[in-house]
Amino acid sequence: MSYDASAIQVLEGLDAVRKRPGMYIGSTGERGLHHLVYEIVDNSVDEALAGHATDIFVTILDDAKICVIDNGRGIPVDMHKTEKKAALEVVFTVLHAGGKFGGGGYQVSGGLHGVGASVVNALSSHLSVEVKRDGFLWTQSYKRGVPTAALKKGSKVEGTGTKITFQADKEIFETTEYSFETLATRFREMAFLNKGLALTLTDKRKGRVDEKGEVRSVRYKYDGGIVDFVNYLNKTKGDALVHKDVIHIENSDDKKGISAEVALQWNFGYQEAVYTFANTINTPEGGMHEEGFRAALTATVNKYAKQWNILKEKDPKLTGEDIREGLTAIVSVKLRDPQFEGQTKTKLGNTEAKTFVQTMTNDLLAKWFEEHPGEGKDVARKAVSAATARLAARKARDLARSRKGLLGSSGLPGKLSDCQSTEPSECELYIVEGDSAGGSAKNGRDSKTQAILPIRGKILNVEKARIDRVLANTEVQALVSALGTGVQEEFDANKLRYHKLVLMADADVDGQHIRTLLLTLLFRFMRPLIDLGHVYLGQPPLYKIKWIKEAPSYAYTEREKDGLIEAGLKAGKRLPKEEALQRYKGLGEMNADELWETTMNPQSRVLLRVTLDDAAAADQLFNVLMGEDVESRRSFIQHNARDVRFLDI
Amino acid sequence: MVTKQTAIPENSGRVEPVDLRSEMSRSYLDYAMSVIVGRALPDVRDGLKPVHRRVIYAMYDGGYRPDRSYTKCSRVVGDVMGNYHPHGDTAIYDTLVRLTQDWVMRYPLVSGQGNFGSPGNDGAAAMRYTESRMSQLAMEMVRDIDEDTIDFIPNYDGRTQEPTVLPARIPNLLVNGSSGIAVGMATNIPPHNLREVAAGIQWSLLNPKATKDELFNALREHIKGPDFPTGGLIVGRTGIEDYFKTGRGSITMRAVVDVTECCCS
Repeated sequence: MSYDASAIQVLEGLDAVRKRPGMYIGSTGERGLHHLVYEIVDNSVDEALAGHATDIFVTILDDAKICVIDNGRGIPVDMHKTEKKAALEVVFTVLHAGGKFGGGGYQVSGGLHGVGASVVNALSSHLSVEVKRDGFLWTQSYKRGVPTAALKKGSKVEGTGTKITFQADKEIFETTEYSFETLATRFREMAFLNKGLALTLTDKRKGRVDEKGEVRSVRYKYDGGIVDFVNYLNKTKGDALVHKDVIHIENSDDKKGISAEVALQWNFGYQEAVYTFANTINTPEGGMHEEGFRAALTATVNKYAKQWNILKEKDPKLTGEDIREGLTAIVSVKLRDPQFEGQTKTKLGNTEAKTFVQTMTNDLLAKWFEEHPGEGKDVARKAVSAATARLAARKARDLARSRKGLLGSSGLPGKLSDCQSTEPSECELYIVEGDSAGGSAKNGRDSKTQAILPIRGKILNVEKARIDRVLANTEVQALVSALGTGVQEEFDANKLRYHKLVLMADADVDGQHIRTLLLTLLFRFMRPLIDLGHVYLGQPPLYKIKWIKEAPSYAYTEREKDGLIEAGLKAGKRLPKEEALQRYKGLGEMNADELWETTMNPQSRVLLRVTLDDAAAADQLFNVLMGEDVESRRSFIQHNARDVRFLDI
Repeated sequence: MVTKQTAIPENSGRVEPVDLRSEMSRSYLDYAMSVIVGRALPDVRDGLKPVHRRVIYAMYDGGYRPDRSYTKCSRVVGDVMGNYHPHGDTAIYDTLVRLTQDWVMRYPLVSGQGNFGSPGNDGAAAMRYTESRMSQLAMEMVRDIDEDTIDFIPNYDGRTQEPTVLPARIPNLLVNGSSGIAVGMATNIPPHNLREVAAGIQWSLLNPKATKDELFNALREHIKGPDFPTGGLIVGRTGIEDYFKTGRGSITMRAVVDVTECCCS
């Protein structure tokens, strides 16, 4: 086929819509289908915005029909001068025809391209419209956008209003099943945004009844407007509130034809819920009004936090995310001449909206903070703690991702004496207490599979420290990077460099304390290591029994010592009169070969593998033993004091 | 989600399972009880923590007495560490220094020669420079120790013996006070005036059948309250009466400031 002038088509009128529906309603799937309803209801809402409609009824009927009734002024029915048709017919059959191009019919409106009604008409297999206006009932019907007859003037009626019934075209749409919930959510939102407007949704389809067997119907009417909206959102979330009353600010500028309204409230949750609307149209992608709001919010809270010294002078500024943690906010702007990006209207393009919302929020939010010092400080404190948490989380990620940045070029801690093998399943990492013990262990080990990491002194109690302090601790860093797994959410067991992690603390009470501190660190930050059974406890001997002219024996407990001595004496061994026993106070006290023989040699050592039987109970125990609550710790010690194994004075 | 992995190759040698919870509670209990019983809290009889007792006994045993000349602190520390106290040398030297400082101890038990610091932030000189010997009063702590007044136990390596408590002729816990943070519990006892406490003790020895109220009134008469080595004012007496009666009370202290006019201004 040749590609010449004959191949260039010009689509006339509504044909264009039927050929390329996606351009007008986004898709021909469920989203597009519901969009038809929104287009018609938006027109009714525009009547409400203009102050003429107060009640909108939407009914879902069988055969994918939707009926929308409002009590607005009714679509004009008189003859249109240039089109030579009734205005109503023009609205429904001509693209880019409408009353919302600034001609005085509407101050502000959601509709702006003049295509809504005509697009719905084009995509409906059948559409009928009834208008009550000028004391008469006017009716007209269409099939696939084409009028079946001219506008008909009917009987005399009271009042005004519009009733539109349409049936989505099954040839166009992949589905014609409307969802009650989707529509209800949307209408509730609209009711919130249009203070005082009543929206009723009824499902009259066959077989669609609620639990009680009645027709499903909801009616939304909110006199508090977006304040009610914020209350509703925070209530459904269920988090405790930072301050009791919703902050509500609004301002308008008639000359520029713009007005804005913001309602906001912080809760103690971590989710941000900021919804923005322009002329009551939801703008999920935000746009200029959202930018303005965010910029002003960030600036205001930062300034306030600095002013009251909640944010210290040298601290980095709070970011928008910190401040918006737990924030529920509605930003609603109304403009005379809104510019959306695309017919689906998901992003606002008016730059004046940004300046207007920003100035208003700056002024009025700052005023609220000044008038509510107590609540304002709570908000600022929450933002500061969010910032701390954010920094901590980033550090954790950095540490997990690039150990190089934090710990020098090699990526492994300098104190680690690594093993030669790179096969994790045969490698063992011994964590020993102090450099003194580290030396013994380093000389005594089998350097092919055994690595040594000395830890200096008592490591940080991670139960009492925030994550940022934990990860800043050099001993923790050394351990984490030696293991290679990262911590918490970033933990990756596949990166584990040693399948046996042996805690080899001195056999005194301080060694036991260090052991509990290390176990706390592992449990809180690298829990899968314990779940997978990678954590072991080394068992250094407590006593060396020096026989005369015989190889010494080692005892791991008091009782074993007594037993060994008794058995040895029976067997004819002799003990020297002095210094027969050596009580090991630290690993550094042993020679390297002694340590190897008694504690590290896989052929002869005793290891205890740490298992986790009841994670919830363990969680509780760590809390009591290592946490902030002194009372519960004291009562634990008092209740269990009898079980003490040995006292070291 | 990670699956339970049991395929870790087991070498010979024993591997025994131990539950995290029982290991945690046992280890922690051993540590906590050891700290409570034997490290951070003083014995009511001589008012000393083990490290103090070991320092004083080692000085007595080593002959660093008030009637002899001063001895290098490093020698004292070495004796204490080698014979009785198997812990770090800095901990021992710090203890020795505090026993010397007359702004820390109402009645110092060690007398020092050299720079032992000042109430400000100045620390003492290193132990290789400073010298020390027992104070006259410390001799009262160990008087009659060889007359079978107290029990001895073997030291940590069984080579020698150490006292479980000192005979303590002076009421050291009350006159020097003590403070310590153990695990789950802590203590903070203020110092008192030796003459006042002695008078109070005398009264209670003469009146063994006194009721609690009589004792309280007599003590209040004889012992005015804490006597801090640094001076200062105590605001209100209710805190003092509280701890006399119950062992627990809180007192508010106020510093006294001397202002010296500078001549050149």
